[in-house]
Amino acid sequence: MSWLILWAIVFYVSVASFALVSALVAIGGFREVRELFQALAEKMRGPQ
Amino acid sequence: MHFGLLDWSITLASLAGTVWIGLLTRRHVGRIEDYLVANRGMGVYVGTASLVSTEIGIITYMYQAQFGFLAGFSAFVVGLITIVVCFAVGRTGFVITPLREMQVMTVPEYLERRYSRRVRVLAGLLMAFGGSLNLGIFPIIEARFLTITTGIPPRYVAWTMAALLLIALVYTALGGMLSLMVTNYLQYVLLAAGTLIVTAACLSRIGWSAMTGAVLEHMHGRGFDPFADLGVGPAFILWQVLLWVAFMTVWQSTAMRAFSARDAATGRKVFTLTSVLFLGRAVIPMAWGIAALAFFAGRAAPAAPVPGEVPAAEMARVDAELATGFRPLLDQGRLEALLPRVERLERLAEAERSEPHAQRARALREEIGMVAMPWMVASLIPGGWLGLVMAGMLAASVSTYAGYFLGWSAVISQDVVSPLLGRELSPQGKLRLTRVTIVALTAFIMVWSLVYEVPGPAYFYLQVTANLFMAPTLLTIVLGLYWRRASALGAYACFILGAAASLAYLLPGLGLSVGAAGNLSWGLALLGLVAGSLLRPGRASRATARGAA
Repeated sequence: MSWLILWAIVFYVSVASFALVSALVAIGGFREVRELFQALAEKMRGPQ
Repeated sequence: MHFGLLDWSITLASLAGTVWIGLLTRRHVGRIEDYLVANRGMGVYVGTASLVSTEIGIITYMYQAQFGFLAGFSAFVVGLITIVVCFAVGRTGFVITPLREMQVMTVPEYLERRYSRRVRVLAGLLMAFGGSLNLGIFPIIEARFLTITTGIPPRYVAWTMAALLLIALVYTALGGMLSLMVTNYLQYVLLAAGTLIVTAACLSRIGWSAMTGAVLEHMHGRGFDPFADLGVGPAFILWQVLLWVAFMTVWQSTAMRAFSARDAATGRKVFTLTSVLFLGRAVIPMAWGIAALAFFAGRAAPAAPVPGEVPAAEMARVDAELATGFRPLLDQGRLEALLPRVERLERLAEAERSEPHAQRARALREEIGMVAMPWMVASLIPGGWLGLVMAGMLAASVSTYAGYFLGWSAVISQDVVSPLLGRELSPQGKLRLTRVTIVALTAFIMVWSLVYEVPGPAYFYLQVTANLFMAPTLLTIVLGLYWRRASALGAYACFILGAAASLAYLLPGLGLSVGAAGNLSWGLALLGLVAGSLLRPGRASRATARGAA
């Protein structure tokens, strides 16, 4: 395999995986931020 | 230039939204653990967003694009090293798992448990020194991106940067890691969108075949084979592998994400997921740099020689023309007029074997490489979309400043000031000290950014200033964990020798290549640690070596 083909594969895999994992992080992260704030609010309401 | 009202509105709204949400978290911060490691409550996705958005700023896009512009596709090898190392650290938990299990908040904290308080202070000082030097060039390089893409006059750029730093400062100083995690999540979404918009524009308006054609035509046969290319090569690759292992394990802002995780397993998952994004972090902006080369080279007309002119006279003439005309053309973004002349100077210097001319041509190409990507973005991206890209870029930068402020200020306050005071500060005292350190750090980088001129490609400078403390830190931690004879004397020698060899690259008179300086740093640091430890061996028990109290 030539360097040119290798770099083309690396580039397109990078872009595709960046887009895919970014979508996963955006969706999963939203849920986690909500849970984090709920946990912090409960901690602040609880006994010191 | 078409950065219009809509673009400004999108950009400012995104910044205002980020600050507002960052400040909302303030009321949840009480203890130093909340502040520095978010009460160790970080999940996988927020952790990934936080780590990646901290490690991607405008500076990242600028230096990676410059590296792609200068080294072509050979630069991509760094992306491959990154994904392999990050994935391996994520799967094995190498270093991060033992440190997370010890519940440390900063990396040097382990060094006190394992060696001595003085080793911790020395490590903290070198980390603060190297980290500040590293952070110190961010504003001036990022300012160039902002000036070019938004059209802000250069005289206002220092104020723009000060405003950005202030934004990061306000919510980091008040909300700490908790604020960072939440704002980093939002910033990640914006920066990912901006990254994909610019990449789509490069592919649709310039195209992959034009990019490969530009590298073939304008890099004198280089740009594809990383093992053969000057500037990359085997020594550089070996050093990058070592440095990325250290970066993924002991770089303070990275390690803090592992320390902030709910548990060690979550920390490892964050690193595994991040490996994919770190591949893109390197390869995508490097490809923008190559696209910028194709964009401007495609518009350039070859430099025509004067009939009858001998090569030596032509070289002197082109050199003189560039001495007077380079700066104005660079500031106007007329890179298509500069590139052929610089290439001509390179060829003539090679043919005439004139090292001074070759060095000047290299320096000019580096300068073009630094601004080519932002000029391309300003030309390629239509109004409205440019606002979205800018929102993503600024989000990336603010999150980077915020993450680094917190990381380095934690080291300065926890590992330098507190141990030197010789007494345990109260939680409120620690919080106050960390906040004061953040303000001092901001003042330093504003000044350093204005007075220091970066030698060679920015990528090399940033890696060397990081290597300065990362090589000795990783070695003292790994040998500290797995070699009972490792001692404080060895640790001192390791830090001093490792840092000195890295600093040698920054002294141009020595003429050390970046790869040679980097490998020398690792070699000497290891030698110092082993020799010092054999000379005066440590007596750590297995439990102490693993950091138990």
